[in-house]
Amino acid sequence: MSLTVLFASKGRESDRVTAGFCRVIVVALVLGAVVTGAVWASGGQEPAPDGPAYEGQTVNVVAFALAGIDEIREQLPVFEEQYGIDVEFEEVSMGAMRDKMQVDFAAGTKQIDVALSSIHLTPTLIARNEIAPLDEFLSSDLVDPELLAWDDFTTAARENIVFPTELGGSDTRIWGLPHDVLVQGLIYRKSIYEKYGLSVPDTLEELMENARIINEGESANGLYGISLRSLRSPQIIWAWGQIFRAVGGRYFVDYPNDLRPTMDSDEAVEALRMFKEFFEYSPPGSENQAYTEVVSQLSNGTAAQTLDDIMYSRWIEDPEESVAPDDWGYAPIPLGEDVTYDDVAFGPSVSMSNHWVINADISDAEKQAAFLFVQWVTSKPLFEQMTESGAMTGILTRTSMYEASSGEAWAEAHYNAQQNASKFFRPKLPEWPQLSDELQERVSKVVIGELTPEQAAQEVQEAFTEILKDVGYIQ
Amino acid sequence: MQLKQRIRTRRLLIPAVSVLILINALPMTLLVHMSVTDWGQSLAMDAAKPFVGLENFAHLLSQARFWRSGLVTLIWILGSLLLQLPLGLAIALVLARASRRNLVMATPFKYVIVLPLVTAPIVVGVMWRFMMFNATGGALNAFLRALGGQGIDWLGRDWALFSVILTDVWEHTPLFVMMLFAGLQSLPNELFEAARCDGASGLQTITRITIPLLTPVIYVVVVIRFIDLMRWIVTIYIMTGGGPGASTEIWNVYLYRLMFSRFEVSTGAAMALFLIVISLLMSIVFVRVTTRTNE
Repeated sequence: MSLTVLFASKGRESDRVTAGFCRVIVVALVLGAVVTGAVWASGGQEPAPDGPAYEGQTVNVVAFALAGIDEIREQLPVFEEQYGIDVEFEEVSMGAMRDKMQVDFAAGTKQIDVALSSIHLTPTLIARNEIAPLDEFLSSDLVDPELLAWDDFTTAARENIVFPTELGGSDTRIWGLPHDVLVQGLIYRKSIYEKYGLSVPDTLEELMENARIINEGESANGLYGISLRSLRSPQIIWAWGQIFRAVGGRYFVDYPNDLRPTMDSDEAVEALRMFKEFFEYSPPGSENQAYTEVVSQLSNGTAAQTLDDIMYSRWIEDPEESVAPDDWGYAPIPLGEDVTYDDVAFGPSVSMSNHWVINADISDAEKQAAFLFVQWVTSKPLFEQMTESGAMTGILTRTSMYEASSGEAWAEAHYNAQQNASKFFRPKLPEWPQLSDELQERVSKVVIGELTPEQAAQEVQEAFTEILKDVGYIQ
Repeated sequence: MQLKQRIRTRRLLIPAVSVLILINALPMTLLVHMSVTDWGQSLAMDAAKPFVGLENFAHLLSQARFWRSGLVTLIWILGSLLLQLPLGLAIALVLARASRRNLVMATPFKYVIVLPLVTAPIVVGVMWRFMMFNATGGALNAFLRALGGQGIDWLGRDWALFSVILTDVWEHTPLFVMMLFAGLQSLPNELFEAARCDGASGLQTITRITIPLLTPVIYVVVVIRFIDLMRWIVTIYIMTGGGPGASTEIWNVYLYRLMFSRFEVSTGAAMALFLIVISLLMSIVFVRVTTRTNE
């Protein structure tokens, strides 16, 4: 006897109500099961008869707001028309993107076929076998040389998508195709430098002196010496890491062969000391600021210079957003005193890449469709179009983009910085998020004066050692 | 007969309980499973996870950061409640008085005051961080300077926690206002008239009649807000990211970092479970106190 019959047999009003409710629940469950079963059994869309396997597929793409994303979205019908592949394009915030990828990839929901990943998340996805290497696709018939134009990607762009399959291993693969390459440099107001007779600094000490002089002369007018990111997030590591590398600092004894941390080194302490000192010449309230505030301070005339992403040119050179659109100079990151390029681990500037990756857990036909999308979305013709429209100002992913923007100060600086840029902006360790979290807190505490540089360096060293021991990288 | 009645009554609960089990028990079971097993850095459910007992809880409780963020959470909750309750009560009293006298502004004010409550928390965070608290271009410092004072580093080390509490006060005091105002409307007029006849002052009326009569409503709204504050993260994460340093790192920010920045899934699950239990215990205490007060 079923539950509903049991309830219905009693004849009371309340029982009838309960029985009715039960019936609704049972019917809903049965319907749900039928629909779920049907979807499960169908296994997605069938390829068109006689057509290629990818035809008729739907590619689910998730991206976060970056330069060019709006234009890509507008151009999607071109891709859909060309390949007979539908694209579901979802745009989320950067933070939500990271969470969504982790949850969807890890849980195997297959709701994401293609995602925009970044250089610091990709190693974790590789370690978990959640994304597919692209090497096989790149040597397959799916490649359209006109679109891919592999040699047109800048060297830094190509290097940023190559990761070892295992930490320290020599077996490397290509795990995505690049959307952008971001590089750091010194961005300064030329007129302010001229006013005080300052020269472009070769060393961090000279940069500090320039910041001090500008601050002394201009802070009463609301213009401060320098602005740096300091938000307790990966952004503070982005900012502090430039100085750390420029004074010759290294995270480990010999990455990736010897992962004993060197975070209590003289260089680490010096980088922390200098980073804190820079904030003495920064606008008030800079202790916990993100790139949005830094861009705003440069654009509205509150800060005279920064060490940051050359992509800022797209905002600070915009006459509608900036008080001094034609006043910006760009230069390489200055080094520490007596430090040469040979001393600097992987170069003082960094290249940071966002790239399109493919879910490892989807079917072969879906992967083919996903690869075709990734090839198209990073293709030379599309990038040329986006460069022409100004959608990619401040970014150089391809040599052809540099050629199209040659003569622009930012483009020269970007191209030159890429030559000396480190692809090891953050060590490509799956455990980097944990290490970074420890580092973020201590650097932030130095900035606000809660820890001395020596104390912070010691604490970071201990935290790094504990984490690296836990995972067995060191004894 | 009584037994039959009881069985019939309980049977009525079966559908609702079944739905509740489906919705709540399954995720909770998974959470408990995650907290007593080792998931490493992965959320994948494709392999057997080694059972580790209470190791994740022990690891969590051994972290100085857990206790430090607990202290920040305590200040965050107490600060928010202690500011919102009197402020909400004061506004509700003014509003009730204005309504009784049919003042023209009372009705539009009622609509305006709920605006913060219906604003998306992400918008509130962005608005306060960039437009209000910004040290160089924010409205608050502009106001202070216009008065001849100096600007404050609102999101700096000394003021950040106060600033996020202030934002929460702005956003959620309307909830206190709405509920207390509704409570005030339901109080019998006779008591107040009698108090007036007996020569009670306004303050005496509020402290000896209004507040005691409103106590059940106050308990309810405090419980709601307590649970809300225990699970809150959005505005803090947007405004400060838990910094500078660790000055605004409440338990939920720490939990978020454990799960999504550090990928310490099992420790995160242990912490999530811990927070659920704390919220549940505190809610039970509040409900018992409320029931006793009502009786």
